[in-house]
Amino acid sequence: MSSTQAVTPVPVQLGTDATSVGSRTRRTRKHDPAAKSPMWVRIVLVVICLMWIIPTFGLAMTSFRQQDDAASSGWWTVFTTPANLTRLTLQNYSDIFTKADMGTAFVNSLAISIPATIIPILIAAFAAYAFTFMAFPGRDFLLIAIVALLVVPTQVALVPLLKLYGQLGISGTFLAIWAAHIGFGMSLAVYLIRNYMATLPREVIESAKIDGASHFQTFWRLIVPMSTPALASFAIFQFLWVWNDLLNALIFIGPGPNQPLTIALVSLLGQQGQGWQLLTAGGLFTMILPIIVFLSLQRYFVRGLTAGSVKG
Amino acid sequence: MRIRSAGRFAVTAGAVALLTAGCLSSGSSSGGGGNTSNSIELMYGFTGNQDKDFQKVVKAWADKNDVTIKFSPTPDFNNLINTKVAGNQLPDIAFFPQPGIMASIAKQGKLADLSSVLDTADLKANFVPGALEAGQVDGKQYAVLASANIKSIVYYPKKAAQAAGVAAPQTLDELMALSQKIKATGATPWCFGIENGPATGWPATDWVENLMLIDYGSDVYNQWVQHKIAFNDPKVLAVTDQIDKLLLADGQTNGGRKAIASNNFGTAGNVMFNTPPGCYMYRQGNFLAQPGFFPKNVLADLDNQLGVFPMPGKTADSHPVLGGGDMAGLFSADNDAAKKTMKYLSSAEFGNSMAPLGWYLSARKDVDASKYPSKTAQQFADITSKGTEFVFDGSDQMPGAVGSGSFWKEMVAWISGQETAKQALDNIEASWPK
Repeated sequence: MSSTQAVTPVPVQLGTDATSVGSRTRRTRKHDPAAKSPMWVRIVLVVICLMWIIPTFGLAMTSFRQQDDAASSGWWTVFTTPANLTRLTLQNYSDIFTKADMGTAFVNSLAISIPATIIPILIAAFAAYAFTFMAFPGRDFLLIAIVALLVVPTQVALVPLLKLYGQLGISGTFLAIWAAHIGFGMSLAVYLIRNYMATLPREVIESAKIDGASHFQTFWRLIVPMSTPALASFAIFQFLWVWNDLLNALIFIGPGPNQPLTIALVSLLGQQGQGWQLLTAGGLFTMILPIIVFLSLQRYFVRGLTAGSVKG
Repeated sequence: MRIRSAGRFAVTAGAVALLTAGCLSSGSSSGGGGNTSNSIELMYGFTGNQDKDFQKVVKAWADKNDVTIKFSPTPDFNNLINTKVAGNQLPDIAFFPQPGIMASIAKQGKLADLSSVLDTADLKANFVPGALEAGQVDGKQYAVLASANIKSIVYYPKKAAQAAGVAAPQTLDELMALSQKIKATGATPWCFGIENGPATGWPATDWVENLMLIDYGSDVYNQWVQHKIAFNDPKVLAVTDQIDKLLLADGQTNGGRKAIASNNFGTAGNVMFNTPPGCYMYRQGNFLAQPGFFPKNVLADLDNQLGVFPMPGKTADSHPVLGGGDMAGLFSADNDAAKKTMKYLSSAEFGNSMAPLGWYLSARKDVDASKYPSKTAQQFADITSKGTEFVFDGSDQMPGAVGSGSFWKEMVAWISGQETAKQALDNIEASWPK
C-alpha cells in the first residue's frame, strides 16, 4: 500500500510544475503499477482464471440440474440446447437442508471456526509482543522452540489427543476441536505475527514508554492497530483451514448433532456413491462463507503475506 | 467393493498408517472401555438415506428393549476405526465394511469372540453358506454379516429383452452364447463402465473375481484372494481371456473398449433403457437398483422395466454368489445391552424389519421374502438364499496396496489397452506386499 500512496499524488502535481513533468513520468513509468502489463502476462492470468472458473461454474450449473439430466449430458448443454433451461431445478438445494440438516451443520461450523480463529490470534499476539519487545531470559530459545514446532503436523497428535480427550471426557465436544485447532495453529500464528511486529518502528514503542504507557497499553493502543495486516492475514489462513477441515472434525467430533459442514457434506454421499447430485449443491453452500471472508479480508491478504517475511 | 471408503483412502492413509503403527504399544485393553451402562455406541459406514432408515428401525427396537443407542454414521469408516482403536475410544458395536480391517482389529484382541454371545447353531443353520466364514479369524467368529449385498447380478431391460427373445442363461457357456446371439442381431450385448473418480477400476476387479469364482469354485477363489496361489496364475489369465472375449472384443460393449475406463459405473447401464437399447446386459451389484443410479422413469416402474438374472455358474446346478456387506462386530464383551443389540442385529427379526426398506438385503435364509418391497428386491433375496456358496468380495480382503491399489490401476491399464492382461497381472503380483 505504501508504494501506491507514494505514486498516486504524481498526476495531481503535473499541472503545477510543468518542467518536472517529463522526468517524473519517465521515472514513474518503470514502477507505475497501473502501467499495462505485457500481453503474455495477461494471457497467462486469463488462462489460470479460466482453469479455476470453468469447473466451478460447471459445478454451479450442475447443482441446478435434475439428476437424470446431469447423468446423461454435460452442464454446457444447458446453453447449447435452450430447452434445457426450463428443466433447471432447486430440488438439490432443498434436499440438502431436509435430508442432511446442513443448516445445523453450518451453525456448528461457525461455532467451531470462530473461536478456533480468534483465540489463537489473541494469544499469539500477546506472545509475539513479548517475543519482540520484552527482554527475558531464554527468549530466543523459546522462540526457536515454537518455530520448530511448525514442522509438527496435526496428524501425529491425533491418537494421543484422542486418548487424552477420552480421559477428560470431552471427546465429541466443541472444546475438543477448539483445543486441537488452537494448539496447532499457534506456532504459525506466533511466528507470523512476531516477524511482522519486528518490522514496526521501535521509536514508537520507546516514545510510548517515555510517556508512561504500560506494556498492556502499548500493546492494545499501538501494536494491535499497527499489526492489523498480519493479524488479518493469519485470520484468513486459520479460518479457511478450520472451516475446510474434515480430518480433525471426524476424529474429535464425529458425526452427530455437533458435526460441522464438512462431515455433513461427505455424509450426503451414500455408501455406493448415490446422492452425488446433492454434493454439487452442498459444495457450493459450503463455499459461500469462505468466499465472503476472503473477499472482505483480501486487501490485507497480500500485505500480510509479505508482512512477516522480510524484515526492514 | 466399498467405493467411498476406498476413494478417500489416500487423504488420510499416510497419517493414519503412521499413527496406528506408532501408538499401538500403549494400553492392552480388551475393548469397550468398561462401558457397563445400557447406553451404547454403534459405529458404521453407511450414510445418507440408508443411515436414516437404519436408525429408525434400530431405534424402534431399542426403545422397546431398554437400550439407548448412540448412532455414529461415519464417512471414511476404515481410517477412523483404526484411529479410534489406537486411541482406545472404541464404540460398543461396529459394522465393518471390509473383512481385512475387521481381522486386523480382531487380531489385536479388541473384538469379542461371538461364540459365547450368539447361538452359533442358529447362525450355521440360517446363514447362507459362506457368509459366516467371512466374519471368522483363525476359526473364531468375530463378526456377523448383518447387511449383505451381492454382485453376481446381471441387469437387463425387460421389455426390450423380451422382444428380442433374450432368456436368462443357466450356465456360463449359455451366457457366452447369448452374448454372441445378441451381437449377431447387430445389437450390443454388454454395458460396462469402471470410472469412479480415484477408485476407478474396481468394477473390473469384480468381473475378474466373479469369473474366478464361477470357473474354479470358492476354494480356489479363496486361495487366490489369500495369495496362496499367485495373482498371475494361468487360471487368472484364463479369466482375463474370457473377459476379453465377453466384453473387450469389438462390438461387445456399448461405446467400445476405449469408453469403458471413462464410463461411470453407476450410470453406464442407463443406455439399456434407450430405444433401441444401447446394450442388453449390465453386471453390477444389487445396490444399483436403489434410487440414485437408474433413470427416474425406470425406478418408478422397476419391476416391469428392469430384469435381473444371477451370473450363472459353470453348470446349471452351481450358483456361486459374489457379495459383500457390513459385518457387525462386538467391542464390549461385558456389556449386556451391547450383547443384546448384537443378538438382535444378527437375528431374522432385524432382517424382517429392514427388508421393507428396499436397499437392504439379509444374508439369512429365514428372512421372510415377502417383506422385500419389490419383485426385484425379492429376486435379490432369492439369488442370495439359493446361492450354493457365498464369497466375500476379493479386493476387499486383499491387502490395501493390492485390493484398493494396484488391482484397480492395472485393470484400468489393461482395459484401456496400455498393457496386455499378462503384463497387468504380473504387475499386480509384483506389488503384493511381502
